[in-house]
Amino acid sequence: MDENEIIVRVAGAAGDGVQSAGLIFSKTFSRSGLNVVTYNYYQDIVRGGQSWYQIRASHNPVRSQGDGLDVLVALNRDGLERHTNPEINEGGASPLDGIAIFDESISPSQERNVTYCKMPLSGIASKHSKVSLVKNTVAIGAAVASLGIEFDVLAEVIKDTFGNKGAVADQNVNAAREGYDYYVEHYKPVSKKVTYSGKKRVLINGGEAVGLGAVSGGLKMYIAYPMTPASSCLHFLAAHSSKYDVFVKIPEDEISAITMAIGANYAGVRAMTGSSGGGFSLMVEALGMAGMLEIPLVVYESQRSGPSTGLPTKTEQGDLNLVLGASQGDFPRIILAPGTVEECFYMTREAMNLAQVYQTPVIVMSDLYLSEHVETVPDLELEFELDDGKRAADNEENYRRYLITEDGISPRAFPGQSGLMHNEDSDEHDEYGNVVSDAETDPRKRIAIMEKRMRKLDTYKSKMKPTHTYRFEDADVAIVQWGSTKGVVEEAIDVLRKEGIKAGAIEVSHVFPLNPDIRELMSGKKVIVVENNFSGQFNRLLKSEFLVKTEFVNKFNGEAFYPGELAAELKAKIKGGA
Amino acid sequence: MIMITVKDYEGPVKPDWCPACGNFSQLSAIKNVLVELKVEPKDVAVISGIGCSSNLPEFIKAYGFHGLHGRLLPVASAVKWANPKLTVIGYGGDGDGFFEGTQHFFHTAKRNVDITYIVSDNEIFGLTTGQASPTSEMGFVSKSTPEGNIERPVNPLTFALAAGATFVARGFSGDPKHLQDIIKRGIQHRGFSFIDVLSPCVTFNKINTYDYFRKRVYRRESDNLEDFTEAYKACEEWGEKIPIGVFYQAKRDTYEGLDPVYKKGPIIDMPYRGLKTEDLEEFM
Repeated sequence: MDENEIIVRVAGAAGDGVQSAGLIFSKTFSRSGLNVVTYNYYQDIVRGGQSWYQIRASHNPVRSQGDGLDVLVALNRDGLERHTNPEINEGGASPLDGIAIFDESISPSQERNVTYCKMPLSGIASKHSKVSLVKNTVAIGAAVASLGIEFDVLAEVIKDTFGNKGAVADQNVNAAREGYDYYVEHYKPVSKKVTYSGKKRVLINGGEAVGLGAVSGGLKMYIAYPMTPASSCLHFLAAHSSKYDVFVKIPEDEISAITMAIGANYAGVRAMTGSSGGGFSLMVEALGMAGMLEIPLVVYESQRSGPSTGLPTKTEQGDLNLVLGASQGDFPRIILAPGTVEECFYMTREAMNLAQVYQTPVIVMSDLYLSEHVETVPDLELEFELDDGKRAADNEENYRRYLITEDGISPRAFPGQSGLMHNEDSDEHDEYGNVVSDAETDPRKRIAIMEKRMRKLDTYKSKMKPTHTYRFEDADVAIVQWGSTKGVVEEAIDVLRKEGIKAGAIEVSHVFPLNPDIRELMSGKKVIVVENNFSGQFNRLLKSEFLVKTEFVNKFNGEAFYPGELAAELKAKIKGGA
Repeated sequence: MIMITVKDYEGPVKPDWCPACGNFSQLSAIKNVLVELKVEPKDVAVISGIGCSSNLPEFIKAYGFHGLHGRLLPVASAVKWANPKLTVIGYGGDGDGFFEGTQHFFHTAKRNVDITYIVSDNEIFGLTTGQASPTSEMGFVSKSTPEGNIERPVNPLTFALAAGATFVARGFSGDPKHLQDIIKRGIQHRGFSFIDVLSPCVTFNKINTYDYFRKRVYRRESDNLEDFTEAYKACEEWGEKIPIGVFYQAKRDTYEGLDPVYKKGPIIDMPYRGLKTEDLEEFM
């Protein structure tokens, strides 16, 4: 285990306060100047079951939930058993190799090679509050003490968390203080070489990053129907609607959500919709309409385990085929897949401009892992210039909404503008927007307008920035990943490099159309594709685009990859094929 | 002052409807009303679905949107929310509105979005060449119901009332003067106005013809338009006598009028806000 990092896990049942405790830890670390990545393991229930929340923190960059466990805060007996038992290996996570903090009412079924910190959590809590969940705060105080973090940092976080309830905040601070002191008095600190600095870092989840990126990209309307895991973005924007002047609406269904977003964009307002795979499936027909009418549209699609209702609280990258093939006929679409929470911000903002410039649907694909876990992000660049693309001036003579141009992009006009009245039609139409198939289908006009629309993709491709790589200069194995596996693939490569395997990553954040430079990057190398789904949807896309031979590592149990696990699988593929 | 004439509203394409189709008089009525109300074509957005009637945006010079079957109301709502200075008219058929668009019809009425929704109700599918529609009567023989329709027809007016529409009316394509008056009142109404227009399909519906309606239709007047119960009763009358006119009109806040962001002004006029450094403090 890396002595420059700490991994804390809070385990309990739904309703035990696992989430809140996890967030308090996360914030305490991020305010101590550490980089933080969290992992949220939960079920589709409100009470009971098993859930846990892992926080990995270091002064060095952290890019995944990591392997190992230093401090376990067990809120029930089940949590203590599962996470100290090396045979259970809960959700793929490592068992405890450090200290376990739990209430004295719990006894482990058998002694294991961990330090048991059995504490009167409830007893201390009851001195400060009648609320039983305050025992969690006592445990948090003890855990923070075990890591040698100043109590004041935790006290501030607790005050902010319970901010609007003065007495409650004080009770929790006092309870935490007593837990903190109790630990110091009775147990030894966890020996780690983590450096705390005072620099506060921005700590957000992927859904919030998407929302912030959209606002930075000029979002004025967000219309979405609730669905896990896309709702973290919806909740964030709804809560900040008045602050950011974003009109937020939950309509009757996802069909309404997407057609409203299209309507707003048609009228000249930057609007966006979002859902998970189930909701996106309902949006399919309208997606094609946006393509046909050439109306800008950003769709945030946060994947969860499918098919159908699937595993509603589990992650997967199984919607690529859906998003790639959604809607009948051919029309240009752009698919982006941010790899980190930071990229969720920048790439959603990029999508807001791309949609305007290319006047076509841009889909930002995230997943449950990315949307729902918080992590620290480097200082965000907030300066941004909106690019509205081509627009017609009032009273332009002989205005043609779908003017045939070399780059495929035609000038837009909006209701309210003088002298530019026209019809935007989901039937095939000519340059003016008039239908070509009613009285007599005109094949020449059809071909011309179809080619014009599709040319937009060529224009876009010609302007794509080079594909990102990681430790690639001397690599003879190319690990190709897309979306949220970016961080864990990098860490797995670090593991392989230590063992002398020259592996590097091709990080595909722009999934469709694929950047032609990927062909050159893969050339002459052993190619292994990593993705979180059953059939290798991206692998198939890559192979069909570049006619390349690949191997494939996947995971579809609902959890994200762990770096050690992924490194082992990659190693087996590399050795196996050598 | 700008003089607006019907010619200003003449679309780039001649209507391709069958001669004598009920849609013609609705198109004329809409144009005449817009002229009468001195609305400039640039300030009109006509949003339609899919079906014979939904081809209308091509036949009027304004900002047109010919979208998807059943989905015109969410598009129209968002256009209005984006730019409230526009006169937004939703126009479609009975199949479009009362089959595939039912949930949108219900919720748009409930929200009281300030748009006008005109349905050309011919009690049959025309563009797909003659199947039973949601308003087809029991026993109606069509391509999809060769032994007679066994579903009861939906009553769009009572449905709109139940959903909370604040303006509910019925017109008849065979009475264009009256239709024009209703459409005018609908457009002037602040809130969701719904106008069901009895509109004979001269090609596929041999039952609900101009003659059929002329024998039954009568103009109903009421000076008590806010009385819901009276309106509901009037909307239920169907058979030997069929009333046309405005049945219900009530004052209620529009959806957009209550939205906290919208209250600050038209969304289309809001400047780019973006993010400021201090916006990030709450995440630290």
